[in-house]
Amino acid sequence: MKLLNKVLTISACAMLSASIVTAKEVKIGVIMPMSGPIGGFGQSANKGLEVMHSMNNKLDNGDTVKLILIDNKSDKIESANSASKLISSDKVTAIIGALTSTNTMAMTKIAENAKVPVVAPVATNILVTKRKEYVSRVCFSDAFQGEVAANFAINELKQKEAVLITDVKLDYSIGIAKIFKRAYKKLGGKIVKNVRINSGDTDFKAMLSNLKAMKPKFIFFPVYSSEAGLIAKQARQLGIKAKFLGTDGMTADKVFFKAGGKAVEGFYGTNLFSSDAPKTTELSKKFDDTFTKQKNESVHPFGVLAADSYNIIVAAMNKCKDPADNVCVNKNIRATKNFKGASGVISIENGDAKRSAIINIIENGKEKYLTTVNP
Amino acid sequence: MDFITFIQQLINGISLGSMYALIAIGYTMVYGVLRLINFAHADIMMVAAFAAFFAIDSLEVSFVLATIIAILVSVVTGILTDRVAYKPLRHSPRISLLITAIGVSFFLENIVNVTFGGTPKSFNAPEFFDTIIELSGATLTPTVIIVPVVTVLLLSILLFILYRTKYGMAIRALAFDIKTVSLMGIDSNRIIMIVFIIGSALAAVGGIFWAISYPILTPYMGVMIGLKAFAAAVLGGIGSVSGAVLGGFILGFTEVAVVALYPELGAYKDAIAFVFLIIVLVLKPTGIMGINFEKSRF
Amino acid sequence: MAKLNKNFIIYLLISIAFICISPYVFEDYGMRILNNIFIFIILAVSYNLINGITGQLSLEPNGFVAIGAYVTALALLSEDMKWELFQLEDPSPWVLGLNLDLIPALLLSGVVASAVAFVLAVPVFRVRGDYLAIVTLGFGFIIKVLAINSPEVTNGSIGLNEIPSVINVYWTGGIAIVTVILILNVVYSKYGRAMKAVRDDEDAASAIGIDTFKIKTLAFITSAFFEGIGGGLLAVLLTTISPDLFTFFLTFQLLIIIVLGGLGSMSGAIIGTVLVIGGSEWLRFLDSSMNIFGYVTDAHPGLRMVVFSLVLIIVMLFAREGIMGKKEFSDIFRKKK
Repeated sequence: MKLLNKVLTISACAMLSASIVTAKEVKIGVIMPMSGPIGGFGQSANKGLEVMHSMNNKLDNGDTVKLILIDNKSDKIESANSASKLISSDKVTAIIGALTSTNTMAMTKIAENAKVPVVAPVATNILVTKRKEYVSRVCFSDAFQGEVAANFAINELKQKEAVLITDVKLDYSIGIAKIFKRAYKKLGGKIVKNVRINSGDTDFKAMLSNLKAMKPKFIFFPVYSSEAGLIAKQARQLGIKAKFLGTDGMTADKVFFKAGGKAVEGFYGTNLFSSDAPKTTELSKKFDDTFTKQKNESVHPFGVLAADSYNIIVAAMNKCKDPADNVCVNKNIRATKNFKGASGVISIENGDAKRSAIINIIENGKEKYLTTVNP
Repeated sequence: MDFITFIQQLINGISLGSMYALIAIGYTMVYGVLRLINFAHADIMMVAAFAAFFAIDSLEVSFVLATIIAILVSVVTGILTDRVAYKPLRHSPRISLLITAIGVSFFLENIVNVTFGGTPKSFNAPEFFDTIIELSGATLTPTVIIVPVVTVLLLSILLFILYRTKYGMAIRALAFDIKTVSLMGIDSNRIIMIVFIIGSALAAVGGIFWAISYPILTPYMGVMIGLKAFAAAVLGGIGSVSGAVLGGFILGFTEVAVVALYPELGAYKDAIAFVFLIIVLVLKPTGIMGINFEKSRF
Repeated sequence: MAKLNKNFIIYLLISIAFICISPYVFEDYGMRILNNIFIFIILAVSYNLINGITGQLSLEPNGFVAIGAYVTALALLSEDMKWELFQLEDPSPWVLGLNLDLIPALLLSGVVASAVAFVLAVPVFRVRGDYLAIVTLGFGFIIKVLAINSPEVTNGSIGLNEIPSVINVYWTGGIAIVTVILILNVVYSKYGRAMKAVRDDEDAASAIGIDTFKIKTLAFITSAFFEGIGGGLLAVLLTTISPDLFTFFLTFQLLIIIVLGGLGSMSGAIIGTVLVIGGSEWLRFLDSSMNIFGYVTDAHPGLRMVVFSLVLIIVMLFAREGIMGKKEFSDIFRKKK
């Protein structure tokens, strides 16, 4: 018996070590705000990531892909520390994150120094990728979104006068507002009033009452969901009948629909993705179906983009001899051309993504697809 | 600005001011009796709002029942806070109490954060509160009328309690000199508990009204509101409940007025409360009404 | 003068040796934490000066840290970078002209912060106790609002990015040691004794002839000076700053640190920093899913903060003196006569 035991043990060990040797694990770090004021963004994004990972968690060569998620609590220092930990302790090959531009920029230096590629799903500020070699994104930049908004306002909505509401606490808002102003003016539009709000404000009645006296016809407000929802509700309560155009931040959190209620009907918004837009790729259809089946709800734009960040990294890994070679993976990420992702067709140039934007209108408490704008 | 807009802004000011007033009363009462700035007071308001949210959303009870639940929850929270965190430190240096209050405040915020998640929650008030009433060009919603009326009503009841009942007298005595009062045979801990009950209940009402008017709740929503309400209490005269209400209205009006008249300063709106606070504390710490004014009138 | 006794020199040598060895012992993540700890030591030790030693509950350090961070960041960024970074408005001319190396930049941060403290001392010290706390809280908040709304100077809420990363642990550790020595000097000088007198009983102190306003202001300014330097180092460590970094939470962390370590004890502040900063990294596991004896809990982000607030409350209730109370390391080892 003793001999048999020994033989069994040794062969078990051999098999075990063999399996450890052959099926390696490649790690991708994920930094997202899962708690804190923008925790909703992170949760939505992560859901998409989870579904995509469940659909495809093995590389072509059999290695498994492991996701390591760290919650950066919507905080900059946490983002930096998380990146540091992922790179040196967990030894990840790539990082997906960190949703907002400010938090992403807090960790790009660390990633650049360590030569670890970062793929940002929705960080839209132009400075995120500028002059970086290891940072890419799958979303369009504020520059593109601002122009799309201005074009839509002038050409489709035929509004030559606009009120601009900027959230001065939000670099996202400031960035888009600046581009919108420039593009709108170039197309012949006039900004009749510039309003400033702060994230976290809840009472906009004083500001809106002032606006009401001007009888505005069109308001562009690149702000986040909470503020957008409250502004919408209070504006309608005060009897303001203007058309509103928002951006992807507006519908980023469901609370916009819940808090705004009936007030947000008829609002327009630019966005990165729409579930009921005609699907442009195979993967898009499959992903949408799988997501709805697994999570019982339709996928949020952030979720799809997180999924595509994952897809692009995996595709890059597959092209490398050693999928854990971060320099090679980065090179391939940056060379992505016409990738058929879950959110559409993406090409990456100097870290920036060339992709189309969507325009939605809110109907019956949901976003309804209107049109696509191609770069 | 034209007359209609002026009326509209006036209404906005009343609406905002009365909510600050409701919360300011709690601060002023606790400070009057314990000489403690209860940093956690605004978080009790937040807890009440979340309790109501939970009751409406998950337990699916009626709005009235949810309000009652919220008031109960905040009263219990207030009493617990006092018993657990403040009572043991009754005879310690004030700095310890203050730090503990900050700790309790953070604790409440983070417990709610962990339990409900930090993402903003939307509060489902009954449709009634959304009805729009037109008043020759200016529009109002029912809350704009209900909140100030309720505030004044509650204030009157409170003043009655404070100046015409035994318990009220005990509270005022404690505010005057807490050490001697216990020597007189009054159970100071019980009276303090009553103060916390009243203060927390008022905060709960304020919280519900806030949730109805601005239906987005986050665990940290109490922070700014609390500081502003405290500024209002100091402005009106710390220790005086009618002062707190007065301070609340002044602060509400000023915030609205600044945005209405100087829209470019809109971003500095939050700093107004602090400016008031600093000016009052440095120049006339007893505030506008001061405790003596109230005493002499009632 | 600082007590140049045997113990002190031993600690000094140990710290220097530790700093020199650390890059070889720790990897990037550990070094990052170490840098953080050193910077927070600077902040905690200076915050302790106004809070623990002089007994004035100031809730303002986040304001001074912010000032220091912005001054250093602006000084270190080159003019071209500034043109690029400032998205909201064009940078004001004197911001463009500001161009210094690290040490002058840090010194300037300290000076500007203490200048602001000097100006604020007048209104702040007219009040006492809780009012002081609220007034300082208010000023801290106003500084933050100014930072957000002065885009020509601070680039508003976008903040400043790509600050050149010119420091490493030798800088942070070295400056931490220097700060501790300097502050210990103050504590053990006649000013320090006057500060403690003000803390223990302000009226009695003024009765024996101490100019309490002067002493409080001195503590305030010194505190602000080092907090400004700490802020500058923080800016360089993070390479990106924005107004939302400098919230009340930063003050709260410093408060926990010095309370835990013992109000009034420098060594306590150092221990507190290591515990809180190191602890908050170590306690990270509380925020994710945990495996307790095989029972897997769901991830509850934010649990870490709950634990921290509980720690503060428990310390205040049961161990108000903190770990070191008012004593220093040297006091413990001093033989009783």
